[in-house]
Order: sequence, then C-alpha cells, then structure tokens
Amino acid sequence: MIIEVTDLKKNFGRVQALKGVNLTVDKGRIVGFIGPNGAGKSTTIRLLLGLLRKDGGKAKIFGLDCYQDAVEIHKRMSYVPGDVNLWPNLTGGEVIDLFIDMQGEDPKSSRKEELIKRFDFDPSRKCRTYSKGNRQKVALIAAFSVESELYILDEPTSGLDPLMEREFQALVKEQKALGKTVLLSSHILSEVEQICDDVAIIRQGEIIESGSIKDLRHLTRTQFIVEAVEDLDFSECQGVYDVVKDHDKWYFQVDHRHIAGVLSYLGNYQVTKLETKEPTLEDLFMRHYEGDAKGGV
Amino acid sequence: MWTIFMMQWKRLFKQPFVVLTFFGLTLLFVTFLGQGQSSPGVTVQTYTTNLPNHAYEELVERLNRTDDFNFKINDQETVEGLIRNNRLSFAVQLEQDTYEFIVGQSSFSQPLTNQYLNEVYQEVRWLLANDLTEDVLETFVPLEVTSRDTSGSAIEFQAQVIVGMTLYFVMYTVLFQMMSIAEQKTDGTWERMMLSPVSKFNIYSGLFLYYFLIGFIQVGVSFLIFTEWLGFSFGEQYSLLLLSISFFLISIVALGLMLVSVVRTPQQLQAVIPIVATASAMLGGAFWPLEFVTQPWLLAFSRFIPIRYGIESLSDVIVRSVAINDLLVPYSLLLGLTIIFGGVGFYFIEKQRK
Repeated sequence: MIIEVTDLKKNFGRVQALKGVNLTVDKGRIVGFIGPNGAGKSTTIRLLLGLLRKDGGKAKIFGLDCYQDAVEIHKRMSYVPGDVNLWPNLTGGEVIDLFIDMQGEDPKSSRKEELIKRFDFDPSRKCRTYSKGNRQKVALIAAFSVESELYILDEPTSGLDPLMEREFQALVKEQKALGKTVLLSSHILSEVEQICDDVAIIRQGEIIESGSIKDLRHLTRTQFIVEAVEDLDFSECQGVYDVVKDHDKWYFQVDHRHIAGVLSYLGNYQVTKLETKEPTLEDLFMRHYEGDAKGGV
Repeated sequence: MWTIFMMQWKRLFKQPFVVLTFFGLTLLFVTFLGQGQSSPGVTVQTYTTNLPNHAYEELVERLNRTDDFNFKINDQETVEGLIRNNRLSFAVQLEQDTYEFIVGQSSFSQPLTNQYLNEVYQEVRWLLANDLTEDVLETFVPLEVTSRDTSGSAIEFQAQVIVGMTLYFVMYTVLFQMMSIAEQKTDGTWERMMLSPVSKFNIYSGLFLYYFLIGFIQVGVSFLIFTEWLGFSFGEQYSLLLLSISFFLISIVALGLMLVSVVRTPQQLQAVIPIVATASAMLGGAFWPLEFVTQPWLLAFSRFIPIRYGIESLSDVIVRSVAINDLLVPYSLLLGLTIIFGGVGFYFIEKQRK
C-alpha cells in the first residue's frame, strides 16, 4: 500500500474540515480523488504533503508518517499543484532545473528535454511572463522529469489546452505502465474516468464512495432512450426513475438490478428504437450531489 | 543547501538593484566619513580675557601639539558673534589655570574637546602648584601614558562612527534581502520549497549563508576602500575583525528571520525594516557614542541591540587591539541574541504551518 489514510481529522478553529477520512492507494494504481469545492480535497492533500498537522487519525505514505517524515517521503514522490507558484525573475528552464536539483537528480541527465518538446514549452522566458497553462507545464515537466514512485497531482491540467491535456493523460498512463502510483485530484470527471483505475469521492470531510470505476458504475443507473408507437406507462415497473417524454422519445434511468425487468416490460410495447448509455462518473458524482442537496445519500 | 544558496545568487544577479543601491550608499557614507577622518582634527575657536598675549599664544601652541584638535586664536567679540549667528557650535575661553566653554548648540566634538582640555589643564595646574616648568614632564612616564589615552579616545570616536555607519547600512542590505522570504511566503514559492525533499535545516542554512555572505561582502568592500583609498587603519588583527563582523552578521540574519516571521506581507516588512534599523543604530551607538545617551531605560534597551555589540567589539579590535579573551562578552551576547531572535523567528514561521 502506498497511501494509507485512516480516520484522518483536521479542524480549522471551529470548522471541522476533515471528519475522519479513510483512503487507501495501492501500488501501481491511478486513483481519482474527486469532490465538490470545500469538500476537503485540498486539506487531505496538504496533510499528505506534510504541510499541515493532523488533529486525529493516521496519514501515511510508503508506511511513513506524512508530517514527521515529510522530507523522506518527498524524496520518493512528485507533486503538481493546481495553482503553480514560480519565482518571477527566473526563467521556466531555471525553475525546472531547480526543482529537479532539489529532488536530488541531475537536471542534465533527466528526461527534461523530451518533456519540454512533448508539452511544446518555451523554457527561456521569465516565469512572470507565463500564462497559467505554461506555469502548469513547468510543474508537470519538473514532476515527470524525475524518477518518483508516487505522483500527487492536484488539478494538474487546469489551464492546459485540450492537446496538452491529452499529452498529460498519455504521460500518466505511461507512468502506470512503469508501475508508478498516481493520486489525481481533478474536477474534470471525464479525465478521471479515462485514466483512473479507482475513484474516491469526498464530501463534507468524509469519503462517501470509493472503489474501482467499474464497480461504482454498478451503483448507479443506466440511461435509457426509447422510441415507441404508443405511450409508455411505468407506474407498475420497478427501478425506473426520472421519466421524461420529449415528442416520441422517452428518457428515463434504470437501476442496474432492475434492467432485466424493464426490458421484459418494454416487450409489451411496440418499441421502434432502444438506446442505453453507461452511467458516467459525472452521473455518479451528481447522484451524490443530489443526495447532498436532499440531506444525504 | 547549495541548491537554495545558488538559487538566491541567481535571483540576485537578475535583480541586483536593491543590493547595489545599499552598496553605493555605504560607500558614499564611508567616503564622506573617511574624508572627515583625514581632515586635521576638530577646529576649536578660543579667546582669553586675562592672559597676556604671549602666554595665550604659548598655551594655544601647547594645545595644538595633538593632531586631533586645531585650536584657533580669536577674540571674545568675534567668537560670540559667530555663536550668536549659529556659525559656531561652541568656543573656549582659555585662562592660566582654567577654561570655560561658551556653547551655542550641542556638538559631538565638545565632550571630546573637554576631555582633552581637562587632561592638559591637569598638567598645567600640577606644574603651577609645584612651581615646575614643562621640561620636567619628559621625565614623568605616567603623564605620557595619560596623553596617549587622550588621543586614543578621539580615534575611538571616529572608529565608532565609521564602523557604526557601515554596520547600519549593512543591516539595511541584509534585512531588505530577507524581504524575499516574506515575498516567497506571499506568492507561494516558500511553500514550494518546503515541499521539496530538501530538509528545513538545509533550506534555512542555504538562505542564512547567502544573507550572511551578502553582508560580509559589503562590510569587507567598505573596509577595504576605507583602508586603501582613505588611509584609515583597522589595525592588524584581521582574524578578530572578521570574527566580530561574522558574529554581528549572524545576529542580524536571525533578527531578520524574526521580523519576517511576525509580518504578514512584504509591505509590512518594508515599513518595519527602516524603523528597526534606524532605531537600532541610534540606540546602539552607530550615530553617536553611547556615552551621550543618559536615559537609563534607553541604555537598558540598547543591551538587546546587536549593533551595539558589533560596534563595541570592532572598535575594541581596531582601537585597542584587544585579545580574543576581551571579546568573549560581546561575542557571547551577540550569540545569545542570535539564539533568541532565531528561535522566535523559527517558531513563528513554523507555527504558520499549523
């Protein structure tokens, strides 16, 4: 196990930011860490990085305490923040070299040049002239230029254009192939869905859902789009939700365990078109949001 | 440590304006003070009401046997006119066995002049009382010793002011350089450094070494220019000179860390630095000798000011050529202040990570 967080608590004055977070990340897995703003994502990451002291529970990386052994942990991991702060009067290249040097590797012998080309980055300009996307590239290039066992990425693609986003995703997949572990906090759910093996959803300082994306999909509903000659009546059909009629089309969602029953029920009608859509991570996420709005899932 | 150290130099070379300005200001003041030093001493206007002309001339000639003072013969009316028009700070009325100051405004030179006149008149009164001539003085070794002490205090005053001004400006340079920590705390790059696998000890060591060296180079260059161009002698105890500068600079870097830890923005620090540096210089004896300060609470406060011990130890090395044993007290006090300032600074900076 690379990351082991058990009943992690953190208070800021009277505000309980983390109420007992549990999270595990196994070696070689890419884990998406998602949640709405203020849910506790950044606090969890800052605790993992040793920037904050915990108020309770356990936070370990590589079996080491995240606060006490921060330096030892940082030697074996790379971090990319969502908002990259750089020294304004140094050039991008100098900052990348500095980060690599601080990581204990030789900037000349690293794979920096290759990554600079892949991200189409100009390292000769001063950091104060860089856009948000370019600042993000500095952090990404520096992080992936060094050999790390773990990558903690906090909104790493904010400000990147779609081409660069794709490059980033390819890079993460390459790291996975090399057996590296990645914890990816992101708001872009499609990105998480594409590259992550597992997902942990945090809400109000607690992990409310975690597991493989495949498993989680079973927890949510499948979208049905049906065209039929006559009107459909789902009043006696179990597991059907959010029924909406638009001209000849019917849109509704079906619980996984009731799919067979719904298909059998539709056999009673003259269905001219049937379309189903796998639930997206966004659907899963929104379902928890809705639950939150209604007072809990 | 070296990565952090080299990064600071890289940043300095890209933005050297602040450091160069303070280097320039130091050299300007050092040159200005140095030229003052090379002038033929303090000019003092005198007059007499009772002494006959030849006795007055003899007395003035005798007073002018030192290089530190230049006593001028004048008359009462002219001198009083000059003082009334603020063109003269003070003058001295010389009589056979006594003298009297006529003061228009206070001056640093007056206590020194008084000290010197007191020494000379002690001799005069002693000779008169014993009905002896001046020739007999050459056979009295103790009087020669007293005479040497008198000239020493004038040099001490000059050395104190020159050293004080240099240390005052170097405080500015170091503290303004340390503003980069406050800037990094604000823009988030400080946190980025803390996220690296470089230990806190190495980060602080790299930064401390850089700030220390910046100050050291500035003091070194100033003293070199003083010696080579302006002919001021800093004595021959170079190792003790370097040691004194080092102890002082370490305490200033620690003071800077404390200031950085208590402010929230670089702008606040920008406001605090001149107040701290100038108040320290005033209370620590950089602008005038501490003997001029009479308020007991100000003197008590000055015990917590590094520049006081910096000036004290450097003056002792330059003027009195003391041994290292005699400097243990100022060194210990500077070390103590370093521990206090550094401890407070480190505690508050780390507390912010809570």
